[in-house]
Amino acid sequence: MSVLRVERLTKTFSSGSWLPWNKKEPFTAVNNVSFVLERGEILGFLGVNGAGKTTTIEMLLGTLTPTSGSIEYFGKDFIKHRSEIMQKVTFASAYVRLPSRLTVWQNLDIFARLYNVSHADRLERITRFLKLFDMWEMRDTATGSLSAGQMTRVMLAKAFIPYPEVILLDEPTASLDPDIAQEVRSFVLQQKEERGISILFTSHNMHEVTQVCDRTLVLQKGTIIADSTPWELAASVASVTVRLTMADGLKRTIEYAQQKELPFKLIEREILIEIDEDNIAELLTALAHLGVRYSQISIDKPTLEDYFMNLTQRKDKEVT
Amino acid sequence: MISIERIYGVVLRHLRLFTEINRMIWTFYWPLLDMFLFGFGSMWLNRNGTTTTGATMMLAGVVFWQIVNRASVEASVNLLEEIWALNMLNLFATSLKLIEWIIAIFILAFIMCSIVMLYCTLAAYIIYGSPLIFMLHKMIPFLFVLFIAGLWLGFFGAALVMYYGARVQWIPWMLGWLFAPFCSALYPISVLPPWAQKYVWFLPMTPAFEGIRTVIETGVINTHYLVISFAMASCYCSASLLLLAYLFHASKQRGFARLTAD
Repeated sequence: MSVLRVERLTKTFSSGSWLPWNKKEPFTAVNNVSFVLERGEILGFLGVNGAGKTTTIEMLLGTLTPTSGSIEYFGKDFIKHRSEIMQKVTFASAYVRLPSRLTVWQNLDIFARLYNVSHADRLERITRFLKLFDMWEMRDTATGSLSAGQMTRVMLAKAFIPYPEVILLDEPTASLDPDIAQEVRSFVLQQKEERGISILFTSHNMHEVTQVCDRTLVLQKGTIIADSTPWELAASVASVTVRLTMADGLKRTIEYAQQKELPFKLIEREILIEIDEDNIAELLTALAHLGVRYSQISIDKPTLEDYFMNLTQRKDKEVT
Repeated sequence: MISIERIYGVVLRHLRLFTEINRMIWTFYWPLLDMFLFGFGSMWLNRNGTTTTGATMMLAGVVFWQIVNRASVEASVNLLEEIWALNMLNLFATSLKLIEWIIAIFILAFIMCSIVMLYCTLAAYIIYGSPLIFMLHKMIPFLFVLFIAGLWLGFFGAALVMYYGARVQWIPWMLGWLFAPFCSALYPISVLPPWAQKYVWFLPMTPAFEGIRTVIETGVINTHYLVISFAMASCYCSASLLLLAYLFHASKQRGFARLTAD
């Protein structure tokens, strides 16, 4: 069952000025984006800077009006039922701040009130989430004095305290130490399992997306260019990287790669050759015939990051 | 449906900042400075032939203008606070409605104006022996009009801030005193140049201050001044609120994220 349905969502920014000599060309940041978020699903939202991720999230929060298209949460039209829907939808971003002169507790208390959380629940949940995110000792500290990582944890607490059904997380682990980031990822997965929360999750960290997300949308220049599981996307990259630490015959190997038009990279005594998985045996046989000797060999399977790089580079070429 | 809890949340968010030094200076220092400045001026006039009532009127103008200024600043600067704190997206990404935010600001402005007014009238009594504090009950209708007039200016400023963001952060500070010279707060309308005397009646503060002066002079509430000033203040404030609602939606066309750009 879907909790969020987005149909042909488009946002075009017109000229920012009324003055005729200051007019700019309209810019389409999000173009005909359609997707569905299922109950209990974590949907990854990938894209380089300027791909349209944040613009889409702003529209999903109702702080930016779409040019066209529709958004439905829980089967209800978002524009008509915004206030009712937003009781069950929360948001956290590493790039948005809370009032800096209020303390951590005061900020969380105010946001819990904005979601109509009762007095007893506020006390219990704020206490629990601050302890969970290792922020209990900082409860009386002004949020302006927090480090970026601490602020991110407070933002996450803010998002989870109302017990939402849908959470939009915009790069939630940005600026966190690796151990805390891992705790956050575990927490997100645990919340999904225990409470069936649906999460839209943007990140630049491909490893994280692979670990956390059930499905991934790849956005480029405002358009969705891929929609699949992280593993399927990674597997769709046919080429693997053969990494050889050379003992003898580096020049012959380079000549062979050039002759066969295989992309390669040199790192000191190592050569990294990109090749289709099916052609590995042929490569190694040919190198043996050429008398090439290597002290170490490894084959790197493609990751989501490889897929992402591959796809964005290919699309860039198509555009140019 | 309007939620009391959400309104209280917004009120609390700003009230919790009340004990900060800059808020204390806004609330207590500047009004006191105005009172010293104009209060000693009125004492000097008093010694040079002006009646005691005339001096009280000038002091009343200083004290009660604080209501207009305070209401105006509360309505617009609280929105600026959200922009400075990068909190706009957080705030309006909740189920908070614009009408709830407006009601919260109305409550905040009312609380702050009440504090300022009581503080100022008490200070006027302590420093100058002015009897304003004992006349307050008769002036309440006019003070409420001044409060609504302040909100008119404040919500107009808030509307501009809502659309143009931090680029126009100077406007709220300016609006609070913009009409002070023209609405006979400190002196009767007859003091103004003849061309200005015709136009100042379009300001709701003008009949309100005339009405306050009548109360000080005669102890009687002039209902004519009261009705005119209340009608004008209500109309202007409604127009400001409509503009605020319009620019709120217009701002959403371009997104709140850009509002922080200075």
